[in-house]
Amino acid sequence: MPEAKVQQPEEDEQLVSQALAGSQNAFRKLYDRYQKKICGLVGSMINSPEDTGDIVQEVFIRAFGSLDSFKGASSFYTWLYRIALNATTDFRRKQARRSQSVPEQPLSEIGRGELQVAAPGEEGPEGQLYRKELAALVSKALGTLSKEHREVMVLREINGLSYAEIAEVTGVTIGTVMSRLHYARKKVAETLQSWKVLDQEG
Amino acid sequence: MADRKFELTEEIIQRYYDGEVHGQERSKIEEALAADPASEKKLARYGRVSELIQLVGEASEADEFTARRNWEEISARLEKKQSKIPRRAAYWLSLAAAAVLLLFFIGPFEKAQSNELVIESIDCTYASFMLIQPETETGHTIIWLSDSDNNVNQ
Repeated sequence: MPEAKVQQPEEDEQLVSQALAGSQNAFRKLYDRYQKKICGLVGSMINSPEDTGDIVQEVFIRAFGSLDSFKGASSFYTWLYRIALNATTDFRRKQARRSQSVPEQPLSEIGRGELQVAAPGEEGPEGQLYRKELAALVSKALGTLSKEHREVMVLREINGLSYAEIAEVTGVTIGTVMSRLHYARKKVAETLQSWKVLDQEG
Repeated sequence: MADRKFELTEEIIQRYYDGEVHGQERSKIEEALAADPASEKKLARYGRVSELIQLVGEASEADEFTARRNWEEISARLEKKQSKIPRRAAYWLSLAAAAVLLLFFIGPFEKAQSNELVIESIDCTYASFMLIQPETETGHTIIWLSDSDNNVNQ
């Protein structure tokens, strides 16, 4: 019986070469492969859902524009994540300049009940709303971290990168990644605990 | 000699949770965890925090429609960017061509005040430039410009 031919997905490096040769279709494949991860990364870093789409677009435009600088020494996605982190940093800088006069809601108000969420069943619109509100609260808790701590937390928990990959993307040592991650987890857990999102027992 | 008791530090628990331990160390940690409910609790807490953080990632993901719209925007911006350079060259070439035509048509009606024409800049990548002076009564000069990068001759 003849063996069924299974078409292997092209490697990222192959797609990069094709995109460099002018194939927008190859770049589209890279986009399809990584857009979700980049959305997750950007959205978790900036805490501004309405701006996430624009930044994701900017990330891929920048990536396409500098494809020729991708030498394949690292994996494509760690290279792409670095571009995404730079784009979020630029955005946060601009946002900080713009919103100097618009004070954020003080964190002390959060624990007074208006953002407290009850836990309905997992499925259905109520469940979705619950998850959405919970995500907004956790996002606020992430916002209490410094940019450096937030980066390692998001790259690990949302993008699932190993310590070595996080070190590569952020340009620090594995030891620093570990200590930042430990601090970030502790701080977020304490914050969520103080908002009664996470109970004492965990 | 008895083995020294394996100590489950926060650092070890974190590395274990993140899948950064292998082989023998992994077995040792699992053994120690089974004998230490407090450390197991810590491990469970790591899991709970992860679940919560991942909610933020999920909430940020674009739905199918938004993902397609984002791509359309990216694609349009890339095309615009790629066509920008030839368009700029074409703009300057057409300006230069207009200047040449102006000289050609207006020239016969006006006596030339000077034989000098200064071209200050030509904005294209590979331009060729040639002066053609046919032996005519008016003595006009034809300026021939070629942008080989865009296959345009004027």
